[in-house]
Amino acid sequence: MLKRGSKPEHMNIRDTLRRVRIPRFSLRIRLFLSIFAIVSLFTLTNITYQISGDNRNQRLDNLQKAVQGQLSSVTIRQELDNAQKQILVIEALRGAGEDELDDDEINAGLERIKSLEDSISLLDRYTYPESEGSYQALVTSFEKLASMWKTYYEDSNQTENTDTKELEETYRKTLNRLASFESLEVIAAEKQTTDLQALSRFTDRVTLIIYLFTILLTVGLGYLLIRYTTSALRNLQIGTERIGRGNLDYHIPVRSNDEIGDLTHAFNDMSDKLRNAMAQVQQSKEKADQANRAKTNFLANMSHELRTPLNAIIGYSEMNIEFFREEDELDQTQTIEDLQRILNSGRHLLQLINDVLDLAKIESGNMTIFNESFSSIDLLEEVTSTMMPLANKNNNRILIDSEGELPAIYSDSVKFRQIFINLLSNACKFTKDGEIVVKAKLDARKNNFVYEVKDTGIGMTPEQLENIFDAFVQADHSTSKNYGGTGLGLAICREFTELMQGSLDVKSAEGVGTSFIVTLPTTVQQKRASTVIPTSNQQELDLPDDEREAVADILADEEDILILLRCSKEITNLLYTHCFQHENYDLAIVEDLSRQLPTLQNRGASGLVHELDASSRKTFTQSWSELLLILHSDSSNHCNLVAAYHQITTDKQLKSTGKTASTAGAAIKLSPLQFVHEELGEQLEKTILHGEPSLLIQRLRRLNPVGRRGQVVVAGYQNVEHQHIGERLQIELSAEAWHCHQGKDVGEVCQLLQSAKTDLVLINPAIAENDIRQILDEWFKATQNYAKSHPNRRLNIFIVALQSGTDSASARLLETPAYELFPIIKAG
Amino acid sequence: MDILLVEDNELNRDMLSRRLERKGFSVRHAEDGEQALNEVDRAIPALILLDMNLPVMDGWETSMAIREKHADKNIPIIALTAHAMTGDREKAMQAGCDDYATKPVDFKVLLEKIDNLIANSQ
Repeated sequence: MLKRGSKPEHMNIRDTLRRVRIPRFSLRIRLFLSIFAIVSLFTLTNITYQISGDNRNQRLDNLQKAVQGQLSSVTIRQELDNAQKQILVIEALRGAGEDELDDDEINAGLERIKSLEDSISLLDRYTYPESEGSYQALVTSFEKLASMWKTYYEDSNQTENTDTKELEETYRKTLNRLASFESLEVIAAEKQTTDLQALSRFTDRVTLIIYLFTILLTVGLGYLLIRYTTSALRNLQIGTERIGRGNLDYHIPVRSNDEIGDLTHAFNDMSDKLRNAMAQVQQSKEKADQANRAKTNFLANMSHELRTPLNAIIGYSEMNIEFFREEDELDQTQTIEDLQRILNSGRHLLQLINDVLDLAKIESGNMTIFNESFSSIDLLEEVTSTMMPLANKNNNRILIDSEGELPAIYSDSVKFRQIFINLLSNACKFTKDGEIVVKAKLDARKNNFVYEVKDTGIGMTPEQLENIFDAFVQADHSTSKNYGGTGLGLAICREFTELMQGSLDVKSAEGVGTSFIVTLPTTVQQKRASTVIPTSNQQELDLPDDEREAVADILADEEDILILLRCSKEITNLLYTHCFQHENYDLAIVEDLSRQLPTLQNRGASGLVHELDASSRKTFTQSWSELLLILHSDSSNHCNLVAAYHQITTDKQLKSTGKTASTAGAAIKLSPLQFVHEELGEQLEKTILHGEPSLLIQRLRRLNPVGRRGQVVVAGYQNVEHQHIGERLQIELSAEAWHCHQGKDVGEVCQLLQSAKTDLVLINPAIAENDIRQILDEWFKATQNYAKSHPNRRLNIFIVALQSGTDSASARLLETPAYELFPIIKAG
Repeated sequence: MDILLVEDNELNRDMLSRRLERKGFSVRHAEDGEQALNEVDRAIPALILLDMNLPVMDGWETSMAIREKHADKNIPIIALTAHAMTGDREKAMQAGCDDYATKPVDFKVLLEKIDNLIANSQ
């Protein structure tokens, strides 16, 4: 066993013990094992106790046996003595000439012998293995004696002289044997007792040892269990306290694989998760702080930037008021100069405010992009011509240098213009007697348009370049004093290019010049993954354009296109028909596809427009499989499927419809006619009827962005029952700076459409079908005319059908979406 | 009374100097800190109006430089700044300015300050 030695050794031992002692058992198994060990030991104790009890009983029996054997042998000796004495008495009497023995006396003698025989045979019970031989010798000797005695009694009356000597001798012998048996018996009994005593002592000892061992084991196991559990729990407690104090990096060491180990793991996981959560909170807090700091900084800068021109405005005004009051004669030239300065400062202030508002709009995500196709070269020429006065001021020349014919760009022309006005005015300001070149080229490899505004001005140092795009930063403090500007222009330019999915970079060398490079993509990324547009995205401003582009992409290569059209709602059919006829598509309205299939096959149907809503999903799938049949029957036939959907009220429905559409065939491309779903219509209607203009305005703002509001024609709201809606529309639209016109009748509406470029038409679908037709025809004509005279401009036109919903006369159309909106593809 | 106006913005310089001249001050100009120091070296003015946002050497540096170089002269300095945030005033005072005025300048108040400081320094 291990001995306690010197301290280090002791420690080693303890370490070893610690390592060895705790096998990796779970707490449950540990408890179970302890209980099992204690129960086993308890059983063992019981068994040994039982054994020692038996032993004790045996000893008692033995004692009893020995005592009884002793007693019987004493009795036997007595009886033998009596019998022998009787014989001697008889002999003595006979010797004195006594009468012969009567039968009673003989029988009594025999009787005595018999009882002796019984006594001796009874003695057999008390023999020990050791005294067995002696007993047999006793029995033999007694039998001889008994037979001699018997013979003596039987023959006593016949025989005169019997030899009592031999009898005497046998008697002595028997007595001797009895004595020897007795002594053997005592020895055997003593030996047995000693043996049993030894055994008893042994079992007692064993019992004691087991008992002690049990106590020891119980105490030991209990101690270990308590110690282990306590230390593990203590460990856990310390860990949780540390974690609780905020030390989330702390990991409680896991010392076992048991329940406590699991608990420890759980705590560690918890602290990990907490730490992550805290880190996120911290991060967002830092972000918020940073934003706050930036805001404070911005405000400080703003205050400074606003105060500087205000100082001039107020100062010059005050001064001139003083002049007017105090001087008799005014220096007119000086006064005009002063007023000019006030005016310039005011303009500068206005520019500053506009720029700040633009930046705020960009930052809040409200700056919308309105994409259209335009010739960037035309626009650049326009911009440079407006910049000429500024360029001439510093004696600069502006040149446009384009590499070949540039295709039309599809982007936001307003922002494009603003970017180049900013860049060119910067170039003009910082260049004297130099040359400003605007280079434009198409990087076909990267699908980018690249525009470079290069000047031969003062340039910037690398340090100045670093934060040139930050708000209120100009290369030098003196810059704004010497060159003017708000310090926001470049920040806005960069934000704009990013919104337009492009980029703005700068290269510069001090004293040599600066060039700003604007990169814009040839194709604008569509911000949606699937062809079915989620409801939320339907409100994106540029969506109708994207849709139109996509339709054009699909249908561009087709000749003699046949559009199959099947719509459940009459007004929808009407709008579709107009839309596609004006795009010169060969159009067939199909009521029953399977019936009209052979005809269609002959005509070479190459596209299908199918109204898609939740209720007609089945028929849609069917139509598609029918169309697939056409495709398979004639491999040269190429067919596109175009799914249009409307009347979709929830996102869920929209998704499931989209799924159906795409599972029906891989050729699903898009929805060409974007219907704003019914819900929106209802809202709009409510807005108008219940006087909540903000919602209507919101919707309409999305149709046309700020600065592009134009003419709106409202048709069909002149009759008595719809008049209030018409009036309401007029008020709301005018308030939003739309030029709103209402036609009294169809003729007047047509006149309005002819007379001016119309951006938006609002039609009450409750009016007669022919009237709608007429209005639409007129509308398309006007559009075509406009398109011819403005070849580079793409019109974005909407028709909004409004329905009152409360009108019983329009019950026929009640199921039609109350509000339908779609873009019309540019004619010509 | 000789006032040195240190201001880089042309409009503000023109406006302030004309208004001060009308009140009978003779005004000298400096467009940045270095020029201001040169002007002070040339002749000690009765008072300095010092814009804080200056190129080359800003108003705080200029103020400290003047105080260091002409410690015995005790020239009154009024800081002018378009920064009206809290702490700007203390910053200007620490740099050795005697008073502080924010832009847009209230001319009446500025005149009072000028009069007070000149009266005190004499």
